[in-house]
Amino acid sequence: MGSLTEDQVKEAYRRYFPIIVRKSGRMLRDASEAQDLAQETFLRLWRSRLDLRDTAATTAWLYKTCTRLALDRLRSPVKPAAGTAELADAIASPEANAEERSHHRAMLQEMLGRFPHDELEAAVLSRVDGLNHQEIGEVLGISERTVRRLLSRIDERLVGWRARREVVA
Amino acid sequence: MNAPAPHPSFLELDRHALGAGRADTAAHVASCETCRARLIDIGQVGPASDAPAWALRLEPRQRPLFGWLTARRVRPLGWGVTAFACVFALWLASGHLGTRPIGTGVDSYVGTKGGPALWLYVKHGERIDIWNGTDPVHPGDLLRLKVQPARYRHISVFSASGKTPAAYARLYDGPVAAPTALPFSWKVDAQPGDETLVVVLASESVSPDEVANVLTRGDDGRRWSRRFVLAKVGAREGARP
Repeated sequence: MGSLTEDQVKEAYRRYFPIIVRKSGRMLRDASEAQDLAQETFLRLWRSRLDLRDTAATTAWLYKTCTRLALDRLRSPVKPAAGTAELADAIASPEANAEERSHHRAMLQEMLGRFPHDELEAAVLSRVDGLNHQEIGEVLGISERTVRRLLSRIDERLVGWRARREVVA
Repeated sequence: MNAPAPHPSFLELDRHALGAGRADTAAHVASCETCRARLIDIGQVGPASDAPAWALRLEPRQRPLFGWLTARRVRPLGWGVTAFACVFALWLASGHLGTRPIGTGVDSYVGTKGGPALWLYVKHGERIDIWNGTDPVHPGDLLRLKVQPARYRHISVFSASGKTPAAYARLYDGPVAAPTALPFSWKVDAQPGDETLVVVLASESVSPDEVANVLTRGDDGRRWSRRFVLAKVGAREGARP
């Protein structure tokens, strides 16, 4: 490898890897899983044709890619990633009490397995990363109107969850 | 804890940490301990300057979007579909186009309901229009694609060199499951010559080496392709690729 490439790797790593690690850690609370996810995201960034000098475009791409890779890991039927329960809590209700959290964890696989991907992506970006509708639209390449619709739909599904919890109780 | 205003998102704080945040974010951070703590948290992930062995073994990067296009992000364009957009999209989707390059004039409209469709948006200054198949583009214009994938699940976008045979380079590659605008736009540069975009919808990724064959075969049920040839104002006179 030429020194130019090595310098470029170091610069890209210095600039973006800390951000990827923090983003991964918010979704996958297990440090080892988060590190794996961050590494995979960085590799994809490196192989992409993004102009890494364009900070806004690159960070938007990182948020989209890292979110999708995390959800893919959590959905994996072979080896689900650790930290799924915490993510379910964050998506369903950041203010949930202990009873609700327990219920969310029990229902986790249904959420990951049945909820549409785009709704989950929007929910993660909104409730885990705190993005507003405009930012979510920018990251996912959709309009703010669509963002509002996705978040509204997932809220409706969560109402259904809570109704089921009450029936079970 | 009380904050004077809603906290910026983590994305905005990350951009701020990289020197690309908004002015109001800087003002907020200056007065918000919570956000300052989050920024410190980002800085503590390091030592980021010491790239690990797996990173240092990476192959050299391919040039970012090579040549005439530079990846740029554009705000979502307010995708209220105009009547013209519908007509143009269906026109693009119509079978009579085959793999002829788009950009040789506007044909009559023949629609295929439920089929794939493409919208090519051109941002010139503050104005955004759907490309009509004939208007030239200008250096600095931004191009962005919206796609209706129909039954296809993957989109690949390429640009073509002006040489013969054309060499194709990948601009974008990713899954697509619903009508959506691609997350990036491309900027037209000042180099002379027409600009050519090739879009391929398929069930999986298509490599640059396959593009010529895909265009030759046409829409065969496995892959659906369209070629956009955009004349550039100020470009050298010459034949289209």
